[in-house]
Amino acid sequence: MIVVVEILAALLLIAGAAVVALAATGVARLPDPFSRMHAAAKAGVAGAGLLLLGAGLAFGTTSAILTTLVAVVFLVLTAPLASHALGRSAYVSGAPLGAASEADALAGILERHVFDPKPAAPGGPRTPTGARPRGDAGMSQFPKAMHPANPALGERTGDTPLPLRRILLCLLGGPAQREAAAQAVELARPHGATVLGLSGAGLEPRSWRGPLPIGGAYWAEWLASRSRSQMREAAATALADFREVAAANPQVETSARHEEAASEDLIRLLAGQDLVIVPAGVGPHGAESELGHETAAALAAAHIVPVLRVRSRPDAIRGVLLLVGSSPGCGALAAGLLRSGLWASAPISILPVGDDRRGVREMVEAQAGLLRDHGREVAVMAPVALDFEVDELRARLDGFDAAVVSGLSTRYGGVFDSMRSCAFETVAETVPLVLLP
Amino acid sequence: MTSGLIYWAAALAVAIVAVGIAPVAWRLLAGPSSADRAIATDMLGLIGACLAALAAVIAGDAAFLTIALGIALVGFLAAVAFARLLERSGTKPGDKPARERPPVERPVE
Repeated sequence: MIVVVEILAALLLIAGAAVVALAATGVARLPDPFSRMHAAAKAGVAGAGLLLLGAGLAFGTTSAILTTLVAVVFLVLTAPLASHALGRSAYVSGAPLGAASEADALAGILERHVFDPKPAAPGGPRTPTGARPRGDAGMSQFPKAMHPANPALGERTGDTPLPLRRILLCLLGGPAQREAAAQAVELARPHGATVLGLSGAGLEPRSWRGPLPIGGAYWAEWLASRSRSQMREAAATALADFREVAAANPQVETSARHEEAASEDLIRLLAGQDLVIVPAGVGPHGAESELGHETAAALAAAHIVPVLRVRSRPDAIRGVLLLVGSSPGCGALAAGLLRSGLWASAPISILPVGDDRRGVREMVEAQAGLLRDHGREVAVMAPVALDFEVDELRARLDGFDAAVVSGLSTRYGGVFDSMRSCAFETVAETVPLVLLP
Repeated sequence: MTSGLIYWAAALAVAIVAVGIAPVAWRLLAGPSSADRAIATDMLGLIGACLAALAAVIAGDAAFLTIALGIALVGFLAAVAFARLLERSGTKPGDKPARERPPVERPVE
């Protein structure tokens, strides 16, 4: 028995020492302060814990074992505190981020200084850190747009048509890009508007928010550079298409711009436009995406400029559909349509969704009244129940070439998503032109 | 009570841990940013606790274990103090953070 305990103690001592030595090597060899801290905190504590337990077992007395156990417990309790404080201070003091710089999740949350190679600069009172409230900006390519800096930006009221002078066309690639370019030029022609083709929007590295596996720094960079080059290729194709369409319509003033700037600058560019045209089916990073994560949805959520999502280009607008559900923007669809000045002669139908919910009928009637006051031809259709059949709704949407909706999807990622269908998604998938005012 | 096996195991462990001191010390001296030096100091504290425990085993005196306990207890205080110092230094009173941008203005129609 004693021999077994001795062998165990000896093994623990040597294993702990080996792990501590590995941690020390890690502290010296890893590329940036954050990975070094990772080695020091985790491997260091594990090694020291093993070694201390081995020492306690080697004595074999109760007091020795208790002392070492308490020491291990305190190590495990305090090491996370120390490494958290060190990590925060390393970030704030501007230590190089290394592999983590691909996705700096703290950007804009913690103030960060430029790295000063001369340490121990004279201290002073701290300026308050510019902490901003932060919502779900995980995969969004326009994180700032979720929280517009100026709340007044979100207020677009009034129902008089605004002149259409500047149209921004997002050159994102994807199957609908050519149609979107043609639609932008066609819209610009009667109004004498200028079209600005913007490519490269959202060319930011994929956010990576997990631990890097072995060799992870290398492969993460490889993946990021590969997706960047794919996005650039898509942007180049879209730009060529846009040039072709523009050359065919010399009377429309067009220009193109490639920006791989930060999202803030793109948002600023967006603010001067009257309408943004986005090809359908393209999400962040120019990849195919779910409706709720599409670039069109992200831009519309910013509430800066009305967004027109183009899936294909109809020859004539036979009818415009207003989809009124119970989500927040549904009460302002008619005003948004009137303000945009689009499709001024097409008849309008209002389709209520789940009109047994509170406020839906009132919104439908108010908007029908508003449209009639402006001399538009309005019909209110039979409501869609919440548990509708997708094919049935598709058949009803047959005569419409444009829709005005408040969002592309009302799915929120919950468990009910698998068993219900979303009327907003069906409309966005069926109707060629969707306006998000 | 320290029979041959444990004695030699402890001696080997001391050698291994002592080898580990060199890279950490190099990082402490070279480490480009102050955070690196603080991390290296933290790691040296851990190594000190390990060496104290090994000293207890080799000397056969359990009193050394208490030293390891003490280092484990107060070692993190040094790291936290370093962290506070690092956060304070480098900030000057009137500094505007570089990331702050003016709010977006929409031209009035």
